[in-house]
Amino acid sequence: MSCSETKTAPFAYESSVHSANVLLRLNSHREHGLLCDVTLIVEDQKFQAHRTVLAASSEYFLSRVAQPYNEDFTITLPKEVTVKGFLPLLQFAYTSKLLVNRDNLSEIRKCAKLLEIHDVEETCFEFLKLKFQDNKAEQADYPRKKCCKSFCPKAAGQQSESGRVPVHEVEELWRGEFAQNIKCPAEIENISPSPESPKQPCESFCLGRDSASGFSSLCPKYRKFQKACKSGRVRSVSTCSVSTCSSNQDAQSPSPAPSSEASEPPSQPNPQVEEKHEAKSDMEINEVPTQDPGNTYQNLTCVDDKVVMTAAYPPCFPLGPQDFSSVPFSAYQPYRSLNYPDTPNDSSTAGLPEGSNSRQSNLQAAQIQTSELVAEPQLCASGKPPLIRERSNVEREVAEHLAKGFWPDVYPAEFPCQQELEMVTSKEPQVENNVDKRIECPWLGISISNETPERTFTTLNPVSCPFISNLSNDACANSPQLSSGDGAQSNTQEKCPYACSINLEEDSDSDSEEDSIESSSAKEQECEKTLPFSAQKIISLSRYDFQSLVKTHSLTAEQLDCIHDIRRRSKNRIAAQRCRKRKLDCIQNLETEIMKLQNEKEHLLKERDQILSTLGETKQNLTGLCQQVCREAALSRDQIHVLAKYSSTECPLSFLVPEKGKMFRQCEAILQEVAGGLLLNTGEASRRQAEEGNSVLQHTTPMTVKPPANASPRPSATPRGIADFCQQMTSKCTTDEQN
Amino acid sequence: MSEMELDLCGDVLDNNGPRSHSSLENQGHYVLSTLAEVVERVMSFLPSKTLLRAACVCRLWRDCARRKLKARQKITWISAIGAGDSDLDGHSLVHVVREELEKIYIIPEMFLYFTDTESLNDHGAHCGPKKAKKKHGSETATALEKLLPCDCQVVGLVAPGIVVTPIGSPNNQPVEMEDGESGCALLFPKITGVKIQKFQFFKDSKCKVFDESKLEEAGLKNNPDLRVVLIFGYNTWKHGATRFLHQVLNPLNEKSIIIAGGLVEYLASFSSQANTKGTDCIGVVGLALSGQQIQGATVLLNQDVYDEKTVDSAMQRLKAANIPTENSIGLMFACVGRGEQHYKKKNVETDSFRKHFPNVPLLGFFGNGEIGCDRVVSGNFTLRECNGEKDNLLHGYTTVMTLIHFGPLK
Repeated sequence: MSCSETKTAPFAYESSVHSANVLLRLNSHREHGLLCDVTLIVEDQKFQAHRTVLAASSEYFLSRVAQPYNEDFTITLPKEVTVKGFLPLLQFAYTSKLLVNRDNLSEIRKCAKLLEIHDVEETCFEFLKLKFQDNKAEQADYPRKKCCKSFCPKAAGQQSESGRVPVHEVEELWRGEFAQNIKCPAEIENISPSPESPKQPCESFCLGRDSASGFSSLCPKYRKFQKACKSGRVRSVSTCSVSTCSSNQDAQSPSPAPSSEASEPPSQPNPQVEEKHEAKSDMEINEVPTQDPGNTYQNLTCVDDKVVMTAAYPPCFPLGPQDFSSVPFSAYQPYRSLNYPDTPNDSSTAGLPEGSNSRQSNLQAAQIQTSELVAEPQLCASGKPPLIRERSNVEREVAEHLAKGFWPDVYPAEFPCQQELEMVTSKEPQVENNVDKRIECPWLGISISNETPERTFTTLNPVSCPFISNLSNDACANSPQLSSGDGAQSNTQEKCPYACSINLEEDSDSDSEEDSIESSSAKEQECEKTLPFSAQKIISLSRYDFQSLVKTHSLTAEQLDCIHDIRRRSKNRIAAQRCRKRKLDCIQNLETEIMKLQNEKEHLLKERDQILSTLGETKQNLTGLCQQVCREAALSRDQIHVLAKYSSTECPLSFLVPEKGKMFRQCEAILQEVAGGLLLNTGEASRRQAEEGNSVLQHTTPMTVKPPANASPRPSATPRGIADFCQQMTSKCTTDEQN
Repeated sequence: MSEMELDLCGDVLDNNGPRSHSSLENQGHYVLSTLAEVVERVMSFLPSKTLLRAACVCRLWRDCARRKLKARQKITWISAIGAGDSDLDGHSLVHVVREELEKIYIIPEMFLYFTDTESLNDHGAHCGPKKAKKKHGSETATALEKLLPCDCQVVGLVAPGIVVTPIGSPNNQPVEMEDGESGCALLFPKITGVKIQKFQFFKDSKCKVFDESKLEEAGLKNNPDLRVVLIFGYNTWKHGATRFLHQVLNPLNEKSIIIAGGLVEYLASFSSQANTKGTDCIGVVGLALSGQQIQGATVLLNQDVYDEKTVDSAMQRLKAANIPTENSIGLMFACVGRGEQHYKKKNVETDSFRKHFPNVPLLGFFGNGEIGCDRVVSGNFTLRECNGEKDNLLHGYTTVMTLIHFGPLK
């Protein structure tokens, strides 16, 4: 690609919000009746809309709308389409949001099918149908809970629901409201790239939901408590509380409750439920559920302090919906009742009206108890002990170097060679043998013993790799862990048969540069201790500084060797890392390059298609123009012949040929027939006449002239035949005229 | 060709067998050190750890192993049921994970695990139940973290009960373990087109106000690709927890994303480094799954779902959402109050799930509360409830069933 091309390459600006905004604006146009060009009549109701939008979103409307235009366009939809089903779909067409509720679900489904709306998937109807079915079923069988086992206060609430008429009425009342008020319990939204539309489509407040979530302010912790009772852990204390609580719930239920373990003293709960009922009549509906847990707690709390402590966790979700003051209300109830441990029934009967009518005072009471509640959690919370990692620096560094050398790319960051926890905890003998020196890298499965600081490629191969099993027998035999078979080592082998356990051997020579780098770290560590400065310093210093440093310290030859070795190796290591990184970068660059080129190719192909189509169009235009010119100029046969001869192949004149030639051939048969007949009838005389007329006609009637004119640029292979045919044609024309 | 390969496999894997004569050895050596196709075919049978070891051999093997590992993107799970061998110390999940990590075919990038609280009472009874619990939990967490590669993110939660699908085939019958030692873990590999981020928010003693800008950091805000958020609250028995949860959840609920989760007993681990910050306050942790190919659906089984029939119809609803079942996982977050006690029968919900989704692994826990609602986020549309209220996410005494699809497998 040349420079100039890259400079002129266009930039594509793509808006991510445009498509959504267009729809939004169209919707506002529709609402204001702006530019609406169609009126839809559904069940005698009129809806204004845009034809294009309708056609684009529905197959049905496309077929209806694609009719010749006339003013005041109206479409009357079939009877099956109802307003209830159609209106949401119309809104969907303009907002890509479909608001479905239980009432209109089936209608919408039907209409969507009938109108063949695009992008509305059957899936959502199926999902919602099942959901709403559930709800219907629930409504149908209300008093279904024959016995209630759970300690959740919700059970108590339900009992009273089924048993008490007024509550039931209230229940129905709000359900009724639910159906009317809520316009849109469910919403289907086509995913669009735009941010959510600022307008909340549904503002209707649902009382029913309030109440429903209120019912869920339950206490699952009690299940745990109950479990504990069953397992006998707290049995002695809790039996009493269980009995009171369960009876409290079961007394109202029509059938006995066999599930509860405890016995049922039937008399106790009655006053409480009476009380509850009274309280309810005064209360707001959404207070009912939060009230209930309190009641249950109160009965529980009268038994024993210990039980209170276990049971008095606040319910996990004590939601008074949007109403936080009700949260402490239910949560603190048990504590409050602690104040009256001797008269539990009194407290519950007295406490309830108080709770419902004057919540303020209740809250005050609760606040007094706050300290208690705060104190309790602190018992439960104990700091997580910090995790201890017993990993010496030396071991860690060795392991990291190894891992880096082996497999730097899978774990691009530092590879963790983590010390096994087992080291301390497990009872395997080998760990005790060399506890302090063994480290294991759980992912590479490499175990290294530190005593042997050097390791070479030859020792590495035979031991570790399962694949090169038959390589160098003697090397394998050399390896002590396989040959000696002492308990410790072979144990490890069994545990992880494919693990590379690499033994570092003192006497083996190191010839591979890379390997020596890796193995050197151990040696470095050793040397480092004897040196007056750290290895890090050796590596990091510049050449000059390094030399001066070496000079200032009096070092033995061995130490000097060691230092130089360390420096050289670290430099090598850095270089290798850089090299690796460069390679990776290169690969990445190439990948992106490929991507770019592919994109470009796609782009170019598209462009090519476009150009081809425009080319075709242009040619067609040109042909039309040419035809027109020919017609208007009334060119003679010879003239066109000449024109065609001197124009290029691209010229539409040559274009005209095949097209016209086809037409030509069609009439040829007819003409020949007719001409033949004429010839037979009139013979030579008429033929001569025809020839005379021919020349006249050529100048007077362009229409009849045309066929021969088109025939003229034909290839010269059959010039004779064409000339003959022209004569026949013209003769036919003249005879027609004559006749 | 295939026979030859098998021969090679046998030859190669037979570590202790007698060495064959040199000509065969040379042939084998030639094939295995030059023909990438053969090597890759052999490697396709190897679990990832073994593959990593094999990668140390030579350049060809390393490249082959790298390609193989990149292509492995299937989500894996590990589960432990029952106490296991009594002579082994620590949680059974630790032992199972240790064994299974040798066998898995992926390299985990994200490790989400649930363990139970029950079993903790058996150990360390001398120092009070609560302390023992904590101690044991952190031990388990440390042990698990040590088993994983260091750049693997870890989120660990402790809940009263666990829902597990036994290891092996995804067709295994899931079990609700309300009592007894159990645990399960989900291992997410690096999946192209899917981004998995973990997040943690907690109510600090210092800053009482929840800072919404944190959401953006965690990829939960201004992230158009966000599809699923798994969120778990801990220490929610403390004062003000509900309010805090609302603060976190309300901004999330405004979006068309799947939100599912529950309230757990406490947080066992969050991150691979020892980080105890925020474990004692009220807080939430979770995973944000973003990627356009992710689809999901949740259903809420509320109190009105009380027997097999109603559970079945709820599962049908989940099925009707028409989420693809291959390369998908099921998550179940139930209340401790449900399960066997509620239905008077074991495994009602899990059995129903298995009936409708025969090849989707199901994991989850029994918690102290649930987060979720009825919602479908599909490739082409989202379906959600839209009542004016915002707090329809927190529930008690319910079950949240979630199905998440991670896009077609390559």
